[in-house]
Parts: sequence; structure tokens; C-alpha cells
Amino acid sequence: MAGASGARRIELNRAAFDAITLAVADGAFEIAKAVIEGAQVPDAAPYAEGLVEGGAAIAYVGSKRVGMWSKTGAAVKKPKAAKLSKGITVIGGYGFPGRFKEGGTVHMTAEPFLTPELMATLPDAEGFIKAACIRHKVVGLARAARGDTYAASKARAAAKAATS
Amino acid sequence: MSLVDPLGRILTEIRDDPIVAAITTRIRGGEPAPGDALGAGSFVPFVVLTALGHSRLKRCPIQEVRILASCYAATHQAAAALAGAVSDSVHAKGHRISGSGVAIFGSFDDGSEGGTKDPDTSQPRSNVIISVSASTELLT
Repeated sequence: MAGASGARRIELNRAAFDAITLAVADGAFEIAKAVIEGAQVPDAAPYAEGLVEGGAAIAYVGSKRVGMWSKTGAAVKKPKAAKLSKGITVIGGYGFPGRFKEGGTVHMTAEPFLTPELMATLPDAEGFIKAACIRHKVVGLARAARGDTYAASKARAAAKAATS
Repeated sequence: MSLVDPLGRILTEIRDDPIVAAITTRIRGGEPAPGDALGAGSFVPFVVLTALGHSRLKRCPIQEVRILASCYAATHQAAAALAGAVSDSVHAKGHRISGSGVAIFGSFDDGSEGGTKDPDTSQPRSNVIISVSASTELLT
């Protein structure tokens, strides 16, 4: 419906909110995993044991856990100090003594390894979220009404390629 | 032309802040200076700034730099007070250009880890993470 300005009226697809939230949480969780896997962990003694294998990520929507991953495959507990928001909370990092390598001590110069990887990955965050939206088949109301989902688009493209 | 590091400019601003200066003028870059890290009973307040990492915008000469300010003091309360003063000295500060041409568009306190102790000396420490938006080039 065209308004006075000629713009189409925008209707919120409220039913899709949960799907979008989950998709964004999923995308943010994938970012955390990419940061942890891509971090150049200092492995010089005595920091090799525990630190190298201690990377993990965990994701919440509200108080519900929606993602959990660790480099070793072990279960991940939420850090006590971490506060969950009503929206999406994603926590990622390395266990003790990673924080001392990252921030240094009075006798040891800092060797940041996690933040540089985070800063390098964040500019590509849109790609992670977009991929998660595709996986969750999040589409607009108008497209969904036309049956135009990502899978349908793919099928149409494949059919078009086959006929041409 | 090399990538500009705004840490020095931020260090100067923190050191010149009157509230921080009333607590300590020992504001260091990278690591403590001799005489900063003392044993229990002789703790002195000092701050160590460490560049954690940066991210450059792809299409304009702007970078976001994250700096960790480790604030040490004799007690946890004093460390938290020093961290608060450091935060106030740089938080929500707008555009400025240093005499050497380092352009900072804005700086913010971007969170804290809360209080902890140094593992070597057990000196109370409180961290502040500072986010700085700055030019990648010197302005002349």
C-alpha cells in the first residue's frame, strides 16, 4: 500500500522474529568459533598445556543456551562473571592462563593473541550472519508468500541452467 | 607511510588528566617501568597501556584500535578508583589532533574485566578496555 510519500507500507514479519534471533545468534556463534580457531595461540612453555587446547565458545538467547563448542570437544560452562542479556549473548575465549598472555603481568609483556584475531574477523561479521540466515531460511514476508526461499531460488536457478 | 599508532596520544591524555595525575603519573606503554612493580607492602599505583589489536576500515583511512589499560594500586578499591579515573579521562571524548598529527575521532571505555590480582606480585589490578577511532595516517 503506497503512503503519501509513495513509499510502500512496511509490515513487520513478527512470526520471523524468533527465526531471525536464532539465525543471528547462530552467526555470532560462528564468528566466535572462527576467532578462537584462527587465533595464533602462544604455545611456548610453560603455556602450552591447557592454553592451546582451552579455546571454547558458548551462545545464549536470553537464558537459553543455543550453542556450545570447544576445541577439545569437552562441555563448556558459562563463566561465573558473564552476565546474560535478554537478547543474544555469545562468549568465547581461552581458559587460564590465557588472560595473562593477552593482557600481560607486571613481569611479563602482553602478547595479545585473541583480540587481534577478533579485530580481523569482525569486519567480515556480515558474511557469518548472512550465511546463518540462509541456513535458517530467513526470508521476508513478501518473498515467503511467493514461495521464494533460498532453496526455491536455488532450485529455479538449477532448472534454468539445465534448460539453457 | 606507516600505520599510525594512537596509543602514545592516549597515554599522554591519561597522564595529563588532573584526576588521574592526582592518583599517579606512572602511566606506561607496553610494560611497567623500573620501580613500578614492587612487592606486597610497597605497592604503588601505576597504569600499563597495551595495544590489543586494530581493525582498519576498507575504504577510508580510519582504524579502530583497542587498548587495554591495566590499572594497578595498593588495594582493590584503589585499583577500581584508578580505573574509573582512567575511564573518565578518555571516555566519550571527541575529535582531537595532536601536535604531531595523530587524529583521533573518538575514544570510549569499551568494558572492563573487573578486579583481579597480578599473578606474580598479587598487586590488585583493574582493567579498562579503551576503543579508539583514529586516522591511519598523520595529518600534516
